Amino acid sequence: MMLQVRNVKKSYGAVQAVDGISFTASPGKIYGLLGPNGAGKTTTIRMIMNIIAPDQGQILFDRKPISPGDKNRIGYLPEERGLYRKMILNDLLHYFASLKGRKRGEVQSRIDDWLERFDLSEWKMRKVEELSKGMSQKVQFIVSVLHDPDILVLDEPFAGLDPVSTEALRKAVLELGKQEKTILLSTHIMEQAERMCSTILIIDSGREVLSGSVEAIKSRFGKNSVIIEFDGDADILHGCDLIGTVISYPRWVEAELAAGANADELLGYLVGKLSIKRFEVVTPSLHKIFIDQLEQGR
Amino acid sequence: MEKLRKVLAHEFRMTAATKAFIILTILGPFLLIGMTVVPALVSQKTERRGIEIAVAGMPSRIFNAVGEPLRQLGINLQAGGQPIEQLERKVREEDLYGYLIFPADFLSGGTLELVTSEFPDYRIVEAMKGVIGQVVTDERIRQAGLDSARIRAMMRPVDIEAKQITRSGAKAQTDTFSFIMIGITFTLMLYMTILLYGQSIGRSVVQEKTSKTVEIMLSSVSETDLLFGKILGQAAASLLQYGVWIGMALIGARLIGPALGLDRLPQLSLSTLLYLVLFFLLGFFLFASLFAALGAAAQDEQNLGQLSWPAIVVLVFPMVSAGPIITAPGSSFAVFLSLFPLTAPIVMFVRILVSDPKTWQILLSVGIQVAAIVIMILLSAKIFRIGILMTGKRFTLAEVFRLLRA
Repeated sequence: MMLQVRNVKKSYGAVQAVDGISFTASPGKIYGLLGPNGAGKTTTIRMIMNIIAPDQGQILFDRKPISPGDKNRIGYLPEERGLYRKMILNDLLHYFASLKGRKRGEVQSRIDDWLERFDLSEWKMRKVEELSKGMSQKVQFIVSVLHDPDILVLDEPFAGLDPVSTEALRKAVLELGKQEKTILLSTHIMEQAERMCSTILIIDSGREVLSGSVEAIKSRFGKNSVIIEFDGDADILHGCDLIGTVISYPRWVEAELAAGANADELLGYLVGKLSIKRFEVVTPSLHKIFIDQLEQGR
Repeated sequence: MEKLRKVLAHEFRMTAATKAFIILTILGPFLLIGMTVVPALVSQKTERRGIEIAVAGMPSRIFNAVGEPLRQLGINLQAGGQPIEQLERKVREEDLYGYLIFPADFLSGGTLELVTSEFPDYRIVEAMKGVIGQVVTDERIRQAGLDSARIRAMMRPVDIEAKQITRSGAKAQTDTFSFIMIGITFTLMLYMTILLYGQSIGRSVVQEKTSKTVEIMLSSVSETDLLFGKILGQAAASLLQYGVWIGMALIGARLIGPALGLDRLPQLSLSTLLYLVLFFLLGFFLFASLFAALGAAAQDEQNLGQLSWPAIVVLVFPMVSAGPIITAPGSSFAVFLSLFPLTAPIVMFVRILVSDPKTWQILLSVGIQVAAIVIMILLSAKIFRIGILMTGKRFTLAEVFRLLRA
């Protein structure tokens, strides 16, 4: 099922939350919706989910506006997560699946499989309020995929998960992508988006900043970044006119080469000032592109 | 419809499968009877202690005549002869309940004085007034040279037996005490159930917000399915509860009714109970949609409590006016309240219970209530749609009204 968003706008009073966003997400691909907090990601997603109505623009499922039946073909993991705490986990999953039009008999084996996969089998007959925060979040993901949707909308799915759970979830999402599901993944963690998404849209203040396939975007920015690992004082980099913007950590930097400068010059400049462990010319990371684009846009 | 049914079934289960619901369903009638009938009976039939009252200045003829009747009412008179100061000390030390002073001119209208250490029990004062008054009157008649027995026969009061012609033509004997008790019991019952279910829906809505399940729900069902699923689910639970209560009442009336004299009460007929369910449902839907809107506008349960006070005040009003309504069910005050939509569910039912209101008034009241419910549900759906997704914002009542105009 293809999802098209066309020039969608939404304002709350004087605040223009979404201001003309367009994109298309197709089956078998993971589409990344990126942006800083408050960029309009969640509002866009709520409009896609038909929870709030856009002021302008269209949202199409297989080229048609949403029909009542379409809600059953969409799975949603909202950013604001919650479950009915007083219910037994198994009953809760059945209830949510039934609201997506699934019969009790159809889903029990899927419930068992997903609980097993996320290491939650022993909690099946317990009350939801006994689950830890991370466990609840995995349950929430199960709720979004239990009815075998064609479109899966995940709003910040990894926020707050431990590394083991993150890995389990990442694998599950990639697998669903291979099963020809249309997946929309909203995140502000760029490393994740870079590794998982084939296409991305970066938005800020409700507007598009950058969009396209991850490969195309990275090649568009060329091999003009260097990654340097070192011992010593990184301050000398800041005064250097060979480089532009820098993302720096105490012993690691990703720097953009200034216009006209080349990597050899920079290396020559640094020798003797820092003890260099690694010096590599790379395409910029999505993280770097993201930050540069946001700063340019503002 | 299918999804509405799912939400309804879920809401019903979450309401009816709780311990509180089961306990209230079983104990409800007993609690209600306990809250209304028992205090009335207790105040009517409190056993009187054998209290001691000393008399001063009472002629012995009077003393001899009143002593026995008062003793039967639990009041023991002590003959006089003690100085007032001593009596006063005894009263203060609680050796005596009190002392009674007869003035010399008591036959020609002088006032007797009862001195006690505590606030005098009105029943003791009334009993002494009755017994002593009778004897003093007899004494006056005798001193005037008349025959007290003949005069008393002439002065015998006329008795009026109140009977009511109901629409069916039957003349039912009425008894003010049971009348008031039944009226108050049912007023209380309607008030409590409408309030409890209304608040329960308000809480259920606000919990969708606080537990953050609302987005998941709205990604599967429409706002109207969610709103009506909640209201109808609780309606189903409340009907189950009323069904159990009415069943208990009918069985109870058959089994133990005759022993308590309940079978003589025409108010507990099947048609009255059906009216009870009708007016409960009218009140339920009106206040359920009101509380659902307040729940959607509220940020948390505390905020819901702040927003719901006007609704509660309106609901309490028929409770506090129960007296005038029950004793004068045909007054323009009672008729007005039985037509004003927010008080109508309780007041119209109470009027039907204790009197026989005109059919057009009953139909008009039901019609007004149905219209009010439709309007309230439309307003509620509007507030619900806007409010349900708003988190982190506290509304004042004024802002809720502004939402309606938006």
